[in-house]
Amino acid sequence: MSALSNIITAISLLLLCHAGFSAYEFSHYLKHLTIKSNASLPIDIIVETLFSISLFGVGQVLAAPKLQPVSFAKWAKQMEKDGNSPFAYLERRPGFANIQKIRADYKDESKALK
Amino acid sequence: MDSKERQLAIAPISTESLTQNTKAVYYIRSVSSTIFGVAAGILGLESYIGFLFYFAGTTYISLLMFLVLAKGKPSEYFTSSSYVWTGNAFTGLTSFVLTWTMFYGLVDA
Repeated sequence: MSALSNIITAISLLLLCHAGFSAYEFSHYLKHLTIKSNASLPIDIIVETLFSISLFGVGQVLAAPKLQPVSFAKWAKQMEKDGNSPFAYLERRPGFANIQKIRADYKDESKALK
Repeated sequence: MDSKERQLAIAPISTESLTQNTKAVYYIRSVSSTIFGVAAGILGLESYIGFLFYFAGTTYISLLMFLVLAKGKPSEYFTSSSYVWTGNAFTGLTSFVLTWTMFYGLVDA
């Protein structure tokens, strides 16, 4: 999805650049060759511009991240399916801690430091 | 406890997904309105027609978001179902005017 949207966006920007350059050239010819004083923009430049921006819109909408459902129940269900449930901390609990062993380890470590 | 509050207590909303969805809409609106400004400048639009062009482009983007992003069911992704159409509709207007005037001047040789 993202590669496709990148390609679409790149093509649309290229077309927009080309249309802009063409419009510049057109106004340049009008001023320096004085063919017609107030001719409007050629139809192909207009079509190219409109086509490129509609393509750009499609590319941007395809590139957007997937929307999440706003209902908490649906959202939590989806997150759980993806493996990062918001209630994961309730489903796990630590085993019993061996206090005797921790104390012995602490003693050994403090002895080693001395 | 009014009815809206009760509704929220029965079916709570996920603020995390609401923020993410709103951010996506905001991003698309601002980027696309900048490009619409470039197009308006290239086409050499003036005064009211330029603003009409902005609103036409915004409506087009809204339609795309309604069909592709929200899959025709915006009430599932936003608290108000009209958010896809009207939410952030004016955020891009300033950047639109900026690029519009800039490219209007640039294209004129």
